[in-house]
Amino acid sequence: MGAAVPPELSRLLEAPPGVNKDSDEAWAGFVAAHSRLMVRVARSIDHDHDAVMDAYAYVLEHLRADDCRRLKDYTPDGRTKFTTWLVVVTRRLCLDLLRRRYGRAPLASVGGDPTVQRAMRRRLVDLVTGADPDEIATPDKDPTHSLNAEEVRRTLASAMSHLHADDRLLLKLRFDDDLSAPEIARLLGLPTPFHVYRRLTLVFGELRRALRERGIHGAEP
Amino acid sequence: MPVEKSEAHLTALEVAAYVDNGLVAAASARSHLAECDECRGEVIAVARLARTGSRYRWKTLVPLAAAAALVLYLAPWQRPSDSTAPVLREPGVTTIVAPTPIAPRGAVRALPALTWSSVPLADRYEVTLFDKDGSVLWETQTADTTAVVASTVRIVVGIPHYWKVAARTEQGRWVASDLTSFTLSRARPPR
Repeated sequence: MGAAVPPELSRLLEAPPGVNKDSDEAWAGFVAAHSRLMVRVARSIDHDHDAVMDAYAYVLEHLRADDCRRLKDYTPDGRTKFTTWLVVVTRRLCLDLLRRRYGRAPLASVGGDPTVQRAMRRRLVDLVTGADPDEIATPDKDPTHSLNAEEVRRTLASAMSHLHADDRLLLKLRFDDDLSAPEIARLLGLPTPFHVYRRLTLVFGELRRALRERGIHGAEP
Repeated sequence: MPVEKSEAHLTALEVAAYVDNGLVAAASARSHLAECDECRGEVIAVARLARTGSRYRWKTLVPLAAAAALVLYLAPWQRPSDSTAPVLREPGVTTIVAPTPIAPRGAVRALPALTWSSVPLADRYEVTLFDKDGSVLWETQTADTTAVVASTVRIVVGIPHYWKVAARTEQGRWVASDLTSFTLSRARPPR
């Protein structure tokens, strides 16, 4: 699974400290082995060509700083690949550069557009209760509809908080981050997308039961 | 469903472990991911990057990556005398503005000189010109904000070249510009 320390990293970490011929050669070997990956990560953060190369240079500079202090943080655990770890570290450095220049952007999950995220969350309510509370809670309708919609949301949030963490994560990935079933299956280590659908059906059933126990049988009063 | 963060974010190793091992990863990490939008977003982004590796068009970026790597070997801030950064903390955010390459950038018809913006209190600039493979074609130091490329330097028409300028400010600190590319559209007249 490639979970050991790769040879080019071993050579680099075993090279004499400071800037010298041996460490330069080891560093060149490391850069040659992993530049492709690091540039790809930089390109995922910014598509402007010069910005990508600048981020790549920034990553290299910081990976080599203090006798490769950051690279020494990698601890092989027997299962996690060094390249995956390097993607995380490179991405964090690229974001760090971006934040230094432009400040921290407002937090947004993968779904991005808040309108899309709201729509996805409405779908969850719809799937569990059989109606869309946002649609029934329009201003020209009875105020009790709005109260009911809010009650459904609150109760659903409470029921979700009692789910197992893995099931909460499943719902987040599906309804907050808008991931497809195949992508969720890969992330959760499930064999096929069908396992995701089956699991979602079970979780919906659990949530429906929890809502019924609290006296909610649908979004209508 | 507000974001709730009752614990520290996942470490790089924990994120990588989750991406590689999924549900086999530590229960605490899984539990954190269910609550933390930021870490979940990171896991998703890293998983996508790890998966799309083979589809990436690398060939077009090899020369550029080589150029950037070379810059790091040669850049003034990499020299041992400048290595005073703290060991356990990120370097402080600098208030020194880096010089900005003004010309040439992109496609140019002529190469009269390299020009960049001045940096307050800078007493010296170091300019480096690279060919498409990242080899240094020419390098010079000046106190001015412009430098004429020596006539002996061969700039190949239609091929991208790269240049970078670093400014030395007080206390011998160097601050470098971004790597900038340009492509000459016709041959330089002989001097």
